[in-house]
Amino acid sequence: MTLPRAHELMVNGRRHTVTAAADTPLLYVLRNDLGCNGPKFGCGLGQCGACAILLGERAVRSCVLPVSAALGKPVTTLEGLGSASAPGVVQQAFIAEQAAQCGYCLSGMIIAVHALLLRIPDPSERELREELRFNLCRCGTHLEILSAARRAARMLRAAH
Amino acid sequence: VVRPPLRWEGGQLDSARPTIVNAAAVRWGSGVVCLALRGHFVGVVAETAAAARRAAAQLEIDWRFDTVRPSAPAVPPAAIGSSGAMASPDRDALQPTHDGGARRGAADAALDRASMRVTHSYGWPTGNLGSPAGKLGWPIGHRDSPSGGAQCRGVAIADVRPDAATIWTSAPATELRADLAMLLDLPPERITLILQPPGEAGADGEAADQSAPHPAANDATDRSGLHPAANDATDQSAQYHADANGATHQSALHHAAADAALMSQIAGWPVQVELSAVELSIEGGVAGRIVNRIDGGVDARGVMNVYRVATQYPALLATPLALLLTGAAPARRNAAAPADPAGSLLPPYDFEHLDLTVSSNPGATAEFDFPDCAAAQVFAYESHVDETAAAVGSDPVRWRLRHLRDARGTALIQRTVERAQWLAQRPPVQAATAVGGVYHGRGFAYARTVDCRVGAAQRSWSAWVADVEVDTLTGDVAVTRVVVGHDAGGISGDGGVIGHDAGERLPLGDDRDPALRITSPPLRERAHVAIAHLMTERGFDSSWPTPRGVGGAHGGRGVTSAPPPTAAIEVLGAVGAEPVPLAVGPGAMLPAAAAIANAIYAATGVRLREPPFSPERVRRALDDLRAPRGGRLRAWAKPDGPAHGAAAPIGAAPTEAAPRAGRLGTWAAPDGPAPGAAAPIGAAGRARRPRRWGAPIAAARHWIVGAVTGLAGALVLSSPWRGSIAPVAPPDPGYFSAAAVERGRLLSAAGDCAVCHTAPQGAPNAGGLELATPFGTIISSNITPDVDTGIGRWSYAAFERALRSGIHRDGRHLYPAFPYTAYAKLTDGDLLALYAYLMSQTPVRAATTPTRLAFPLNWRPLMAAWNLMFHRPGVFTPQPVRSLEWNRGAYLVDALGHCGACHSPRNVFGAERRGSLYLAGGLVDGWEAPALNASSRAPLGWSRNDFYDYLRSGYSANHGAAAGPMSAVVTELAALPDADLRAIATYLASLNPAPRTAAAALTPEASAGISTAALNPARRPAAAVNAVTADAAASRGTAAAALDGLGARIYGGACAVCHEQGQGPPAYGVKIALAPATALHAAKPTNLIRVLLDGIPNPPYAELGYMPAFHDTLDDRQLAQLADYLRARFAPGEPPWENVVATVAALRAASGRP
Repeated sequence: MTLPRAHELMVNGRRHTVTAAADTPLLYVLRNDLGCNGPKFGCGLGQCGACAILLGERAVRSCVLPVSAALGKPVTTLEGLGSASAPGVVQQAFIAEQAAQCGYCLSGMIIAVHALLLRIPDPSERELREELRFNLCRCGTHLEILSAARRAARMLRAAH
Repeated sequence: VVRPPLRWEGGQLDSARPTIVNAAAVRWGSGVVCLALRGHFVGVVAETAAAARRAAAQLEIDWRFDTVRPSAPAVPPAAIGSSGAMASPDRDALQPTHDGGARRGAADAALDRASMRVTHSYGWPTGNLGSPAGKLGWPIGHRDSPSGGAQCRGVAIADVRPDAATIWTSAPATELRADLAMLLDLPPERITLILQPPGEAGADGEAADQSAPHPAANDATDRSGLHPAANDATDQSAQYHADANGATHQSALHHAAADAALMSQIAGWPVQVELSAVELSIEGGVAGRIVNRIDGGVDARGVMNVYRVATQYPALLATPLALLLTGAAPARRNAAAPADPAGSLLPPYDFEHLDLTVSSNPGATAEFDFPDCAAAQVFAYESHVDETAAAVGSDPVRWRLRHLRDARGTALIQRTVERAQWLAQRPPVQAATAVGGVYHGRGFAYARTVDCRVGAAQRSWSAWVADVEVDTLTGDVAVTRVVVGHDAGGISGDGGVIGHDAGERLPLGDDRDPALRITSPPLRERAHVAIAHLMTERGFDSSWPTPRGVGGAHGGRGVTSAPPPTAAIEVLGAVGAEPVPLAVGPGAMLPAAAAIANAIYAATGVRLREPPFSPERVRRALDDLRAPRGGRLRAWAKPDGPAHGAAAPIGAAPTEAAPRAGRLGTWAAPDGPAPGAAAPIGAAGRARRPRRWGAPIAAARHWIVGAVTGLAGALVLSSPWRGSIAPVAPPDPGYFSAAAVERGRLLSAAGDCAVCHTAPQGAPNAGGLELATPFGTIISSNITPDVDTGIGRWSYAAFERALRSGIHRDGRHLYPAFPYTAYAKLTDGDLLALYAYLMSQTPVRAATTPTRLAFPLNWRPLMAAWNLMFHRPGVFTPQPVRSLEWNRGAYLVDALGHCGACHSPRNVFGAERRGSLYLAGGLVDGWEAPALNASSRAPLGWSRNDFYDYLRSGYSANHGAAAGPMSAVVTELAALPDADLRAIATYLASLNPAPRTAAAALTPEASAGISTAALNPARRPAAAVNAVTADAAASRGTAAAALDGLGARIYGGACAVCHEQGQGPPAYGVKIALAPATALHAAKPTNLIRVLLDGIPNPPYAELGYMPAFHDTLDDRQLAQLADYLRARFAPGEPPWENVVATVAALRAASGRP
């Protein structure tokens, strides 16, 4: 346990200063201090992916990432990809495919797909499945989620 | 950016063509965006600077020179054959020549008539890396260094689009724009240069990222906008330093901007490039040598009347390398003339004919600072005069006085030699003090300089008498006494009144007492630093510490063995209008090099014509001298520098050398073929001796006897009660030179002081960390200079005693948890610097709880017996048969790094085991410190590169990541330069067998079906790691049950996302393969369970990623099953661990979090 101190974070394009111990999980800071409730607390061990956020352009599991690791790097949560009135491309695709049952894993799934498309705009089916391999969904919505991911890739290609 | 080997070919820069061997391996690496390849240019673009550096280090490149050109005819140094053009110049008037040289008389003709000619070349390395690749030193420009590291770095950001480019830089715009236009193939007007004040851009990578471009200076070519005064107007030293480094720094910025632009164009991303000074010294071709070739003639009267010198400067490359490597432009060079007025380059002696020509490396000229030029010149002419004196058989001082027509200089010399009690000598003089292989010698040198930099020319006179002791066996040169006469006479003319003798004589021991040293003039400390620079390879730096004490920024970049504090430096007072200490100019240090070289000559007959006078060079020169006489095989390679090559037969030297050759020859031929060599001695001899069973028995008997006499003798004879050393007033802040403090900071990092002396969340070095040992808990002390709770009142003598002997200032014995057994091996210079650093920290008032061990260990005098039995005091002795780098590594490992404290097993008394158990692995703080020697359990073995990767980045792809206490060690090692880490790696790798290769581990079916694509970076074929994985997966042995049980499911849920190779998204951080991990192959599951329980919450670098702790989520049984599964799957060749559940329970209990 370390003593709290001020951390300056860049979350969804805005600068925030939070006071927390350096080893506080980033997820707690995002949800409790900054009110970003997109990322969910799932397993708390980096296993399920519900807490995924983008650090830079890479999907990371914020429940096992200390807040100190996010200093100086842009953090993007689900809220940073779009809003209910103006959803982002991946979000639109998930809505179009109705790729949710309970929806708890959804934030992590969308972030993971987003990260994949940032890296590989035209992913193969295998790349898609590998990317989502360790994002757990307990409701059996996998096929819809994969369809949504494929649709998102198509939409991005069309936009370019 | 990876630079190809460069070479000069007939005035053209030639570079090697790269072929990337392992591009795929690097592309995989985390955060790597792309490789930037064009022409001969190779760069790596990555998300973070650390990732880029890592990837670049992993690149395996096959460099080939395209064409082997016929080597161009050597350009004669004195190519300007205009000597006859000036007709009969006046004898006294010095005629400047068109090429920056000067002439008087008719040197060529006079040389032809001379009855004796003495011709030699003298080298002078410029820049930090100018000296051959020695490894014994600290580098320049560390990013955290308070005073100047940033000055030496070039930072640039470029964003190049297809049709336009924007470059943020602080390099001057004019030439850069044209260069970039050529490089990017864009019209110049499409390139926007946004200029930033150097302070901002150079401060830090992130700062440069965020700092807004300087609006006022936007696109300006006005230099005044670029250099806003000094960062701190009161800090003139920084300003001076910036000037001195100006050329290098400008060049750095230029190169960085071009690199950034090129890589940005290739990658399509904005790219920031940060070049450190070290990289630049190599890359920019800045470093080099100044070579002075001196032709002296003595006429029939025995008077030296001709002096012809040709000075050759290295080139400073002005064209950005990126431009050259991509083939976009031919090399262009700075056309600036040497900054120095010719007058100060001339010897102070009254030679009738004199000729000075200046040239530089083929076709190029460069700007050099006063210190470099002047130091090189003084060294050259003072060495030459000495050689001439030896050749005519005259006393070197009398010989100089004979040619001097300067009353003031003459007076200074006379006073100095009088003080030094100079006895007329006919070199080489065999001093009577020679004992064993140590020879004593004394040298003299003199300089008169005119420093034109600051307004009115300032003249100074300086004379040195240096006493040295040369150990002809090791090549060590110790400067034992120096008498410096210095006269910084200000601007008054010759023949000024000779003032009173303000000389100051400081007795030998005073150095150790800060209180006394305060009264001594700064010149003494500078002399110390100057000498230290001259004596070590890498540490050599021709930029002398400057009048205002800038040593820390630039001059202080690296000394390994400062002169022993016992070297008495006596300063004869300055004479002149100004107060004594203030008038000391850089000129005072100029004769140092020549004085020492002359002294070495007087001692041994060896003439060194290029500093530094490192042990290796002295040894080589001695060997060269001996070899032709004795006709024996040469054990040492012929030195490459011309300065050494010319060192062999000189005047009367052979008569002195011949008898010595017989005595000294034996060590020089370790492999024994030398005829007439006596029984081999030293390390080589021992290594060849066959092992005998008698030895351990004898050793055991020795131990028993040692123990008995130790207990009895220590108590009775050697008096375990030690006296207290009187407290002293703490030295004033700023008393120590910045150079010493900076060096001490690096030493402290290498020595991991703060790792033990900092409590969790506590102030650094304020103590209070509890160290669990088998003997009880030891609490580290406060080593900040607080007067009450820290070491503020410790004199250097007390500090040295503590580090060498383990005695507290008050006489208490310290427990050997404090690794004085290792620190005892530190050199005096390092110890002094460490003291300087520790005493310069901010004092922290923090009382620590005294350590209370159980009886009988609480009775500290017992430690005297322990010391007698186990402590081997004595400074580290290099092994002459090993390379410099190896010895440096051994020094860092054994003395400073005290690696053995954790990595060597300890005996029942808590003493480190030696011999075959040296670095064979130990236990510390609930972690197993793995073996670093041949008994390592690592499946792939440790190569030099593995060690280097691991120590530099905290991660080696063939082994794993640093965890537990090693994480803090890697964090501390970040302060150390690459060269030192490579030295450590070299040394440690020498303790290990050659790593297992892929072929040894690979079978066809094993390689099939394994998808771990490019896990393995660079050095070893990727198949090696795969093979281990494959072995593991393929094996179906006794552990089959473990492979299907609960452990497998836990692995799939908790571990696979980050550790399963070839599956899942790229991890944040490194995706560490488990098959090569040492922890899984260890005899006990300790480290595996520790890391499962604790995770890796504090990786040395955030880029490596964090591992969560499973302390609270998996119970003992689950952890044990997971451990069994990991063992069975990834270390199938090893037997299953036993008692895993109990181990988990014990470690969990020990962690204090049940």
